[in-house]
Amino acid sequence: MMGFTLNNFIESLKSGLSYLPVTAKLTFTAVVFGILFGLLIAVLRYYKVPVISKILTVFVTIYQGFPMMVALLIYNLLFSFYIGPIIQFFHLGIEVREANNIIVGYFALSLGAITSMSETLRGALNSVEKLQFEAGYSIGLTKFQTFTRIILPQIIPVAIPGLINNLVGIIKGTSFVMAIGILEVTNASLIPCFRTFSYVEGYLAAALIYWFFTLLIETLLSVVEKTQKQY
Amino acid sequence: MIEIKNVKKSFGKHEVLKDVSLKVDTGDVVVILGPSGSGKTTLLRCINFLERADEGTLTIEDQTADLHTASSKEKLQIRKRTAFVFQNYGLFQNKTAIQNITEGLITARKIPKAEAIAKAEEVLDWVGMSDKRDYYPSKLSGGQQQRIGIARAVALDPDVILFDEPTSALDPELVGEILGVIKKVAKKGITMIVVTHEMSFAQEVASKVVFMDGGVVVESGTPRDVFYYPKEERTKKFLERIIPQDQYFI
Ligand SMILES: Nc1ncnc2c1ncn2[C@@H]1O[C@H](COP(=O)(O)OP(=O)(O)O)[C@@H](O)[C@H]1O
Ligand SMILES: [Mg+2]
Repeated sequence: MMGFTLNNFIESLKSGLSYLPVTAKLTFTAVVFGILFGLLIAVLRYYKVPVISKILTVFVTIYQGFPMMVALLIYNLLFSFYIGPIIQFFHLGIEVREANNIIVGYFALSLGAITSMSETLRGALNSVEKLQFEAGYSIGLTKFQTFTRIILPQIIPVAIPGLINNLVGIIKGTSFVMAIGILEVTNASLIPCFRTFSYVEGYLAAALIYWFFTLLIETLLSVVEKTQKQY
Repeated sequence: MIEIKNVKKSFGKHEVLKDVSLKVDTGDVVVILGPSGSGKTTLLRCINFLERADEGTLTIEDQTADLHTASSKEKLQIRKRTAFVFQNYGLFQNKTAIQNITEGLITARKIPKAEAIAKAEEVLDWVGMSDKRDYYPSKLSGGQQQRIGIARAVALDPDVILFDEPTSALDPELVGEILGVIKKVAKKGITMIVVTHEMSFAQEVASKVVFMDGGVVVESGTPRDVFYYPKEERTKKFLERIIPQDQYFI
């Protein structure tokens, strides 16, 4: 029988919440890399930079069809294979079992964020009329000035809804890293369950935390979004 | 003096400009006429490096640039000596009317901000748009946007302004007033190359009319020469089509 015990639920909630910083850090790191490198990829592809843009197109297209869970497991495998030689090579002076594979989580989530956000930003870039670029060039602005002063300010409001979507996806994606044994919200919410077998409470607690976290961030960002649309 | 020599441009196999040359004296208004697809827009775009010509040179006063091989530095220098008025206005959507004008002054020409704003305000007033100073383009009508487009070009104080069908995106009732603004620009003595289908404007303002067809200059001369005494069959055919019979000059 699956019952519901409030005490166990609260215990799971507390345990899960105490690891919210881990989830938040994973999310934040992925989003920062996602926006920076996503923008770089979007721009390189938009301007059709020879060779590089072709490679990036292939990479993004393939990577988008690559499940996050599989990616994580593969990177984790590679990590466990190569961490020993890497530690030796760089003389890091730590034991193999001390090496924290949270770096694998950061890496997999960031790469996922970079590819998905690059697509959002490229879409926003494509929505800007060619004439906006040409008008910039015609008054004597350089390519860089045209991009930073005319184009970028126009793609931000267009990209924000899509980027928020990507962000929500990233938050949800962080729960996958429990698969490689990292303690974050999902994993931590389940800690009490190993003793009490109150898994329903544990999963519900985790769900509630994600829901709350997502809502919090969406609310914060919708305020930012409102300040953006002035034209 | 602006001189364009032997400009050639193909898109793939399609030869759009087949050896076009054109000389414009300082203060002159050259009107380019021609059927759609004859390469008028492409010619203006090559002058401003919005399109890379396959061959040809451009001389503006003391500076000559190869339209095919010019470096980015030369390209930028030429762009700072020219201005473009677009058919669809091309105002920066993220900038207000006045910012549209000051952008090229402050960012591209490094003119001090206060000076740029003063200049922009003066030009805004000159095109009758002072009251729309802080409006974003999306809040302006087509005619108002084109006034700003013209003001932006004039404020840059270029050696030549290139107009590409500046009134053809406008509602018919607005065409006259924008042509009026362009006439004012001409009266200022600014050198201009204007692509337009407005014959009466050409007649009144042009120092020289150039008729283009199929990527070549078919015929050029004073408006009187080209309109009243066209020499080439193609010019006659074009004029017959474009000028209503009751206004026909001959
Ligand atoms: N970027 C381009 N790519 C391919 N063909 C083009 C491009 N721009 C213009 N053309 C072609 O070149 C020809 C001349 O165009 P254009 O210069 O716009 O003529 P006009 O302004 O006289 O109507 C047209 O046939 C047009 O389809
Ligand atoms: Mg045209």
